[in-house]
Amino acid sequence: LKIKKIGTYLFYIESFGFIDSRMYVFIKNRKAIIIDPQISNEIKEILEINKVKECIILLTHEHYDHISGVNWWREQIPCKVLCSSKCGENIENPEKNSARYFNALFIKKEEANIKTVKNVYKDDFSCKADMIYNDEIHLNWEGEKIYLREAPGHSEGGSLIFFNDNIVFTGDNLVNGNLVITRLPGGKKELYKKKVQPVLEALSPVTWIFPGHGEVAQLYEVIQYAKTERRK
Amino acid sequence: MKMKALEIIHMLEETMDLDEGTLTEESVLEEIEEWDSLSKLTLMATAKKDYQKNLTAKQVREFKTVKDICDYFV
Repeated sequence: LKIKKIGTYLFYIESFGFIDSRMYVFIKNRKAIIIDPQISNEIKEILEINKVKECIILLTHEHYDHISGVNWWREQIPCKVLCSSKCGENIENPEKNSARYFNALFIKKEEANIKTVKNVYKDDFSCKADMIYNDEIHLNWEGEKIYLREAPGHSEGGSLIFFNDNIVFTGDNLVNGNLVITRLPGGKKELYKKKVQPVLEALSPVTWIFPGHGEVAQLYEVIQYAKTERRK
Repeated sequence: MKMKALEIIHMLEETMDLDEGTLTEESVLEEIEEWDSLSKLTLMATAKKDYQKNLTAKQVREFKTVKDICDYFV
């Protein structure tokens, strides 16, 4: 478990074993926002300490490693799940959310390294959204401005999630320490270039990026890696 | 080479994000950097979606060359 402080805002960060998919949690007024939930007793304890009584779950996209905790969290605390309409459709199907094929990631990995993920993994995993949106949606959550917009590219059901003016949860449409992958099922490089890249390029370089994998960093730091890698 | 094998090689190049003509039937998978876990996952998904085949991780682990994959699909 990690904590990232941006100004007065505190975010709790959990990582999904060797895959390092990131779950983010923000708490205010006994409510919480959970982005890309995974099973975490540590985060549950933090919510209990903060007397959190309800959550909104936001999904950056439909892939199993970013939704694996949806059903578990529903059992812990009252939750509502919000995502893009395509994401909502795909999370209900283990073939579309990739749970069915996820064990391909275990091939030739040391048993000790994959244990934490393997212990919770279910190849027939599916879950449901409570609310879906098309194109974009603006929310006022406890006085915080939250804006989601569809971002297909890495997957069909991707979203960029803007938190106030200086933070973006990018999911796997921008990761830190790796190039964006568009070759997974449902991914499309052309769509990424058309729908996602221009939005990210229009951001201020000091925008805080909370990526789907890797450390939180400012945009200029995250894209520096991508530029260096592409030059190789 | 049979038409079907060419189709599978093309599909594999897309799966691994390789330029067309990079792979041959003789290509050894272990020697291809792009034959990573994500390519394996994508291959399993493509097998189901486009070829109605239930390819398992165990079967994927046993593939040694591109020809082995072609033979599975043909």
